[in-house]
Amino acid sequence: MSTRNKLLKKLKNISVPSVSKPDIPTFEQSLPITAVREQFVQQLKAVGANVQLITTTQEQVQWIEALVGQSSYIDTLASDHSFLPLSEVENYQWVILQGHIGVAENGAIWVDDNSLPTRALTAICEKMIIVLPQSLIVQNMHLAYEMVCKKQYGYGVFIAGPSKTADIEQTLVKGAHGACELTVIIDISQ
Amino acid sequence: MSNSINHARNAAQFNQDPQKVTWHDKALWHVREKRDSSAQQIQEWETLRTLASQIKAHTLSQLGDYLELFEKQALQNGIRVHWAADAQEHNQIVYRLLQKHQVSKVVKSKSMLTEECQLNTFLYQKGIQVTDTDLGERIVQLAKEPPSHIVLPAIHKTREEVGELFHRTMQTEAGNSDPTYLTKAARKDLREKFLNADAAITGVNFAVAETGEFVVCTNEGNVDLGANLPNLHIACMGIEKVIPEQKDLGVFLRLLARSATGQPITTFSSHFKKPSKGREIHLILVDNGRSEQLNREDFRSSLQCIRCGACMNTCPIYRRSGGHSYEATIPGPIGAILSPGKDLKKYSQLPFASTLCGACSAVCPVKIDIDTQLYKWRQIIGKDKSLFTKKTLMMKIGGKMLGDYSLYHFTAQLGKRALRLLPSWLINNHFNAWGKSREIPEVPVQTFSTWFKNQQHHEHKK
Amino acid sequence: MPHIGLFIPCYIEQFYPQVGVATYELLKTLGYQISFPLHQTCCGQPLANSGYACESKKSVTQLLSRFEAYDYVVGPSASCVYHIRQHTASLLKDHKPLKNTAQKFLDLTEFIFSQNRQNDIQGFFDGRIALHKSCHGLRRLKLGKCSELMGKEENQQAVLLQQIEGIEIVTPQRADECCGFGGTFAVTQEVLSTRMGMDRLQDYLNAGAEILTSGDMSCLMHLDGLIKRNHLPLKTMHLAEILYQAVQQKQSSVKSSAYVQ
Repeated sequence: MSTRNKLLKKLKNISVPSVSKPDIPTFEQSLPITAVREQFVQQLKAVGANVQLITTTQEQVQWIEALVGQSSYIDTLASDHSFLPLSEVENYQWVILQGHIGVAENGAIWVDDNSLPTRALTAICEKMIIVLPQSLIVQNMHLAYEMVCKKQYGYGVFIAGPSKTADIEQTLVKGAHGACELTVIIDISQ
Repeated sequence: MSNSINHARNAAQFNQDPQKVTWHDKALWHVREKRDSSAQQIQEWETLRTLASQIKAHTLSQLGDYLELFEKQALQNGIRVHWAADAQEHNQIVYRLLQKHQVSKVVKSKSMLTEECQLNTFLYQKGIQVTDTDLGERIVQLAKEPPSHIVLPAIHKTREEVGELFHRTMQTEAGNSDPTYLTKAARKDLREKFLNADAAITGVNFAVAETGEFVVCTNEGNVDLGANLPNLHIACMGIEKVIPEQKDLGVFLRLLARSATGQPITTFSSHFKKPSKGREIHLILVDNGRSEQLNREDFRSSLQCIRCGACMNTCPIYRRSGGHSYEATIPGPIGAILSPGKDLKKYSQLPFASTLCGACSAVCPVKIDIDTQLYKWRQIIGKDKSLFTKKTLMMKIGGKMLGDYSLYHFTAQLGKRALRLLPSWLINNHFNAWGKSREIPEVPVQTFSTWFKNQQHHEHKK
Repeated sequence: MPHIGLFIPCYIEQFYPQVGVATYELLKTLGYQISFPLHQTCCGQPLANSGYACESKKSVTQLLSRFEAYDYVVGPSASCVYHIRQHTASLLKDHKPLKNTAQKFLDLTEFIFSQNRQNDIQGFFDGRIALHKSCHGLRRLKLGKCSELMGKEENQQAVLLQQIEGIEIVTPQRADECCGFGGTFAVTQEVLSTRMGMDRLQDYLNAGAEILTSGDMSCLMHLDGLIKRNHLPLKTMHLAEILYQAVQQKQSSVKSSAYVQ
């Protein structure tokens, strides 16, 4: 018998009293979207991200230009980069990504491979910009998963701030492996 | 049979450097404090703990079913699923996959399971280059040490020690122990490894039966970099890591990082559902003693553990004895209830490395009654004839003595006199241990019983 | 009024009779009928925590059989009471009456609150006091909220102390860390036990404590041993001693003011 079948048989023979699965509330509070956004911004700052609020596409472009300057960048919002060979991705300093969900309680933003030419873009560039419309900000993780479950993806990740470590004497250092810097641009007109 | 580890001796050794103990204790207590202030911000914190505990208990009550469902969904997603009965089979599966893909260089992210299986040692022997990419793991790998904590692997090392280690192994500047400098140096060194790796090995925090996806949580992004660059991704998980539904992640991700480090969530919570085009994801489901633990009614709930490490940060013993004193893959309170299930003789001292203060159970995000299980392991060890020691004999005599009032009373009186007059007689070595750093209580003029009898006598007279 | 059986743990009987006296007198001032059955044996906790619960059956049986007649059994030790309620049932499988007796055991603070008599202990006591929350009292008998749990701060022993005039309660940095006694742990892990105890004491001293009190004399026995060996400026007193002295002080001041009039 295979290890699989042996193990499954063994598990079936262990009698564990049945325990029912609890219902999970969403713990949603009645709050105006501005309050939810405010908490999101606070949490983003707490997890080490920079935040920029904008109201027009033009403003968005201006901010991105200002941030990126003369550096090389991959703008996943702008065009199709599926031709980009992996070996080259590493040479770009900036990456601009589309966020699909923002979570107010912890500053996490959902990014998935629907808008990623290559998956490693979530951790390979030195600096990262994520663009997110205000309407996609939810209060907490329970509400976030209500949105995730409707998505089709092969790879998805909640990113909360720049990559970090505190493995040397508990001293926080930004930029362990992924982005050393993260700016979140929130479009509050949407 | 393996030799028993001696936690008391290891702890005493750790305490030979009192300043280091102070430093270690403070570093971990600080993490505990961060956890407290983070949890305080969540009104429904205690409700979340209850939910998490119930979800895990429910899953364990139908573990086989959920594993089958997970396998089915994962296969549909294009993830290849393997099953391993023990560490050896797990390591063989990994090796076969690496051979098939002609892999010589592997990047690894943190996985307590591969520590448990001693995968690194196994792969070194096969001539495969394995690089741990989590900074803490990398530090202990370079130092040729096991991790001393499941979330903070190098918490036992000072920045100076890391600076010296990096100088020796990565040629950083001598005497520079600035954490930012050292982290950047490691980033540069590891970036090279990431780009040249043929395969990635990661752990798994949660595997969702409903969707066939698995979630890995990191702060550094080493999983997202490691697993998404090479063509082969091998994820290794214990069978207890499966959870029923995706929405359950909402509960666990709210608890995990807050309990672990006080962060509201880890920087990266990465969901792997399907391999990208032209690549392979393999997932290995490992038993390695978990089904036995499931079969032990009293210790079953130890499998609910989500490896946050909060019980270690909170444990007054762990903080003052260091993770290495446990000589187990998982140290601290949770390790002390998991390890005896793997090797009772070897780890028979670990359930005694506790005052049963219960802080571990109160801090645990999935409400494992750790201190109760420590107590229960002690009873099993006490009854185990193969572990019969001088202590067993003493305790048997003690039981006889305490059970017979007149004998107990007589011995107690004698003992009290002995404390004053004949410290070496009757008083065994353990009493000497008491007196080493503490005064023995002064003997009062009368016992409470004597007082009470006299007092009753007076009242009657009145 | 319920009839109380007074449970005096073996080490209090032998080393700290004054704690037994204070408990007895305090309960008496509250108006309870109290009996003290003689020939009480050890609850077996030292054996059980060492893994030999089965060896303590005789001692436990002996102890419980002394208390079958009472409505409540009250003792000045959260740890022993917890052990009796929680861990002796498995030893007494065949003896239902004794199992019931075990469930009648209450720690002094627990009893006062269960009878809703907490407001009836008023008095005066002069001192800067730190409350050492013993682990079994706090996390097992739930005499308060431990720092690991989220929610409203509450502690029954602190409530009792706060009602006494003249007491200033000082707060250590670590609200409820274990002192390192742990029964046989104190000797099998002497080094860690000592270190933990010294750390607690330093915390209490830094907070400005003059007197250290607790509902468990066993923690205090360990801490007092360290205090005396290291000549630290701290005194230990069981909670019952403080409450009883406070009540006495008030009674005597009432008496003396009556005299003046």
